[in-house]
Amino acid sequence: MVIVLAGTVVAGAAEPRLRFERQRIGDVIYETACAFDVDKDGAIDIVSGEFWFRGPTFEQRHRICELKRVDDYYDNFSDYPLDVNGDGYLDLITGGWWGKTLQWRENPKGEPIPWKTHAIDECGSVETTRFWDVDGDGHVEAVPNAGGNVVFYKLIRDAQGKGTGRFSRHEVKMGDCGHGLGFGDVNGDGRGDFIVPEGWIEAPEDRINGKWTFHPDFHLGSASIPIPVHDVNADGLADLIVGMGHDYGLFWYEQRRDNAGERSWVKHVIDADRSQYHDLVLDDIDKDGQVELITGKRYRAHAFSDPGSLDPVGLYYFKIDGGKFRRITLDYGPAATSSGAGIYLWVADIDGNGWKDIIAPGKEGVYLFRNMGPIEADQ
Amino acid sequence: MRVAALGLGARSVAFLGLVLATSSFALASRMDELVIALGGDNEAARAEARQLLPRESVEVVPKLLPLMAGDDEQVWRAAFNVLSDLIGEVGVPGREAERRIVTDHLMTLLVPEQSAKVKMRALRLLPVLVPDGYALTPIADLLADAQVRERARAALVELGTADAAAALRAYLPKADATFQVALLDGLSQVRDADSIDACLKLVDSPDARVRVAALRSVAWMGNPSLIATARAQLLAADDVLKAEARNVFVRLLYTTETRGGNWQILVETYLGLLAEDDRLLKEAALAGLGRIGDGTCVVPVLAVIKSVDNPTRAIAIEALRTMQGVDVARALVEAYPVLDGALQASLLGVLGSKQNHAVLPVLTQAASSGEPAIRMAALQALAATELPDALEALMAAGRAEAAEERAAARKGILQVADALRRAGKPKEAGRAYAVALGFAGDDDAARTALAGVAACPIPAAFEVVMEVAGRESLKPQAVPALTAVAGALVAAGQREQALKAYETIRDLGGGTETMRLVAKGMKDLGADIDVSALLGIVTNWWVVGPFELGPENAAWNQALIGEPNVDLNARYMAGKRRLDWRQVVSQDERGLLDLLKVLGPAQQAIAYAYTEIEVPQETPAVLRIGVDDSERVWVNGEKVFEHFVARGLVVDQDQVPITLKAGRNVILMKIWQNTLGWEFCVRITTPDGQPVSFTQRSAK
Repeated sequence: MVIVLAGTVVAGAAEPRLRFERQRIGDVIYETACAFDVDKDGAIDIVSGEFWFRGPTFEQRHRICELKRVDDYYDNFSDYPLDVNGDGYLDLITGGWWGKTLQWRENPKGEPIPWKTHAIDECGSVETTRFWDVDGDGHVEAVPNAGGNVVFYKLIRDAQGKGTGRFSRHEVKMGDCGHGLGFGDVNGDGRGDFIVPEGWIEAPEDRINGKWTFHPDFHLGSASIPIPVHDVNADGLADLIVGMGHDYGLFWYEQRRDNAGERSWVKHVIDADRSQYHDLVLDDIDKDGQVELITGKRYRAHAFSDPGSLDPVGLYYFKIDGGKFRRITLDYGPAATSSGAGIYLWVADIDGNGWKDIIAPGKEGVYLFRNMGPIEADQ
Repeated sequence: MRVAALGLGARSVAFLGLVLATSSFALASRMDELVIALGGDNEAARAEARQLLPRESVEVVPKLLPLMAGDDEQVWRAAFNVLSDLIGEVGVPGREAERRIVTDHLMTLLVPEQSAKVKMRALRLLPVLVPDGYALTPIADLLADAQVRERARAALVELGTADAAAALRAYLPKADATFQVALLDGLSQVRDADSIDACLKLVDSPDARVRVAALRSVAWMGNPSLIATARAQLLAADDVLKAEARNVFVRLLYTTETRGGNWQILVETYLGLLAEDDRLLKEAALAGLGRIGDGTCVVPVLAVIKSVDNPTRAIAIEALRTMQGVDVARALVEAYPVLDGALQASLLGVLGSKQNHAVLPVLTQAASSGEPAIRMAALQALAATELPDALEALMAAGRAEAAEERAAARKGILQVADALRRAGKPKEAGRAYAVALGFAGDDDAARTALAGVAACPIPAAFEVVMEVAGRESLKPQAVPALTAVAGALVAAGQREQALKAYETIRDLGGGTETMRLVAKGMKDLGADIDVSALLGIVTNWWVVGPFELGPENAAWNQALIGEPNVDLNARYMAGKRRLDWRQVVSQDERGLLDLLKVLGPAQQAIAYAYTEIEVPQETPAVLRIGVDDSERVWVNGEKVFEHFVARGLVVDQDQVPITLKAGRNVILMKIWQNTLGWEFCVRITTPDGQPVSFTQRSAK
């Protein structure tokens, strides 16, 4: 593998800048967050850990559940909204390291009462869970990074397409899958493949019953979750973007194919000087038609034992720009005053102003960054 | 209104109150009396009324208002103070209705018919009184009254409610420029989000003072959209307004910083300001970058440093010091080689403060510079890194010719060691302390290093600790350090060195606990040692008895065995019994020997106990003896102690100063048994209580 040291380019002053209004959500320190209309009152609410915060002010909170707490970890490493039981209200899919169980929490139809938690599967310690349409049926499946395996869980729906509260379990690769998980079409066959730290797993035509093929092409290390699959340099080949979840570094791996069709990967450095890039999201938050890479530091990912854990926290989006990766910083500084990205951040237009906002959870606090659009428009 | 004084004394008032206290009429009368007294000429009566009236109900308020509206300063102030206290009373939760009543009354002082000074007095009281939701119109109307508008404005600001803010902003368009500035400043204090638009409308005011005040009033929002406007105002400001406009601009940047979320915009703004001719603005930008800057800000700040003098230069260097992140250290190191010598020297401390491995090559090189000042600065910076890898360069400097550099190096090594210890890295700290000990230039430094070694022992510290262990002045620190190192050696399987360490400690002597550790350590290592002797406890004895005490304790003063001489082969007759010396070894951890078990039951009796010990050199010592009942003692044939009293045993109850000679010493005790228990124990310590290690003659 070839490693190219490119480094991060800081955006020039002439580029339009998004203005953000930062709001601390409650006084909580959960590492996960999402947003949806919990009670169907027309306002998007924010869900984080043990509470949901009523929109649009997010000042009133309602308890969802009591979470197991271990040191400064809460046993809750994802918050994904999905109507699991088909009652028209979005429920939550979650899971944690200590509980070793993928779970869903049943939305009590928006009532401000605790939610009932249901086990989906004892899949092993859950680093976090991601949600992708693995089988291409238009619905996402839940894929926990857990137990050293790649297994996806498909919500069983009735004839009307409504969730039944039950899931089917599908094994992709059992064993030898460590910290890090991605999904996307690596080989351009139109089917999403899985990425694990030691290689990629090619999807069969029948992704439910077919055999998945492992390609041990690389060693990514303690990689982020997710590992986005994206054609960074617009050469028609899918590349990988990899954060180091528990170390310094943010990289992209360029996919190359030789004349014989042999695949190779070239590692490029996006940022060598910041650590604990645990969660990476691709989304177009400046509405330029191109996705940006939204990420930041997971503060105290392993307490203070990870390299760089005492460095400032930060929340950024990177303009990808064909691989130049220009970093735009929203927050950077001590954890007491600044935000990182947590383990499960959320990007969506929460206030309905047409610009996608960011909810950045974490042990330093849960923050909503309201995207107010380009500052030039205000001036 | 002036009220004639009643001239009632305190006693009279109290009496009147007592008599009439049971009827409402009486209460009303009492209140009236007090009000009259408050407005009267009698100072004592007014003082008493001032104290008592706040305890009355709010019904007193309308009676006080005429007094507060009067001209006599003593009277209106007294009424004012009573009202102030009453307002405090009704300000608590649960008394909202009374609060509203008092507010109603005070608001009547704001009507146009009242003089300005009366209105002013009422406006001073109202802010802490007016309940939420109360119509503020009477106060708001006064914003149009030139005489009292400032007090009305201040009252609304102090109220600080949304309604107060609404009143302030509603008057903005009607106010003249001067009062607009005051209103905007008030809104700035209230921080009312609903007033933002009204304030911003005045950003386009034709009056520059108003424009600046308008921006200042919304600066608390930390909205980066206002930065360009504030900048433009600053550029357009004349000399009179410039300082204020600058203040507003910098305040806006700072609040934007603290609100968060717009780092990129702010940093680009700060970087842009570095090119400013305005020194204060440049310094503000440098301070801002010092607070939030990252590696991308290093080169621009260095560029500024090249072109400015102090104090700007110092602020810039401080900014580099306070910037956080690995990329800052890396950027500094990359830029360093092309900087001029003076700037390089100035940056050494900054590099050290980064505590990052990337800076070590630069600092190490600087530590061998041809310039003594740079070498010194580099040594201090190396120490400040608090990195183990800085030790090598510091050790090299520890051998420097210049005493100042050697001292700096020694101090630096200890600084690194202490930091590693604080960081919970005992192995690295132990290594650093061992290095520090090797370079310790004086006893103080050596003591500090030894204390560190004791706290963070590593096997590698063995030799350097052994080197200093023999120095009498370091013994108190060397013994625990060597004890700890011996433990580390044992753990590392280095038995031979561990044994040497223990033997050294044994010879040096130490506290009981230390000797216990030594004894255990040596025993664990298989050494043939007398643990008790190591702890100063005499366990090996020859005893003979019981001899009868005889009438009037006659035997106590008879030489029953020819003492102080002792012949262990001799035999004695006690009545019809023949007595031989018996060899006994105490198994008790205190060395206690039960003579009843050894010699059999006895009362009113005498026994002798004899032992021999060896010490390598003459040693001042203390025999610490416990006896049931009591004893006479000879050391080397000389009587050193005698006590004859019936008592139980207490360890160390008799302490006898002696001098042990080098080699063999003999100890003989004559022990009296009165009745019941009969036992004794002996240990030998130095005069300051440390165990004396000795070799006992073996009891075969």
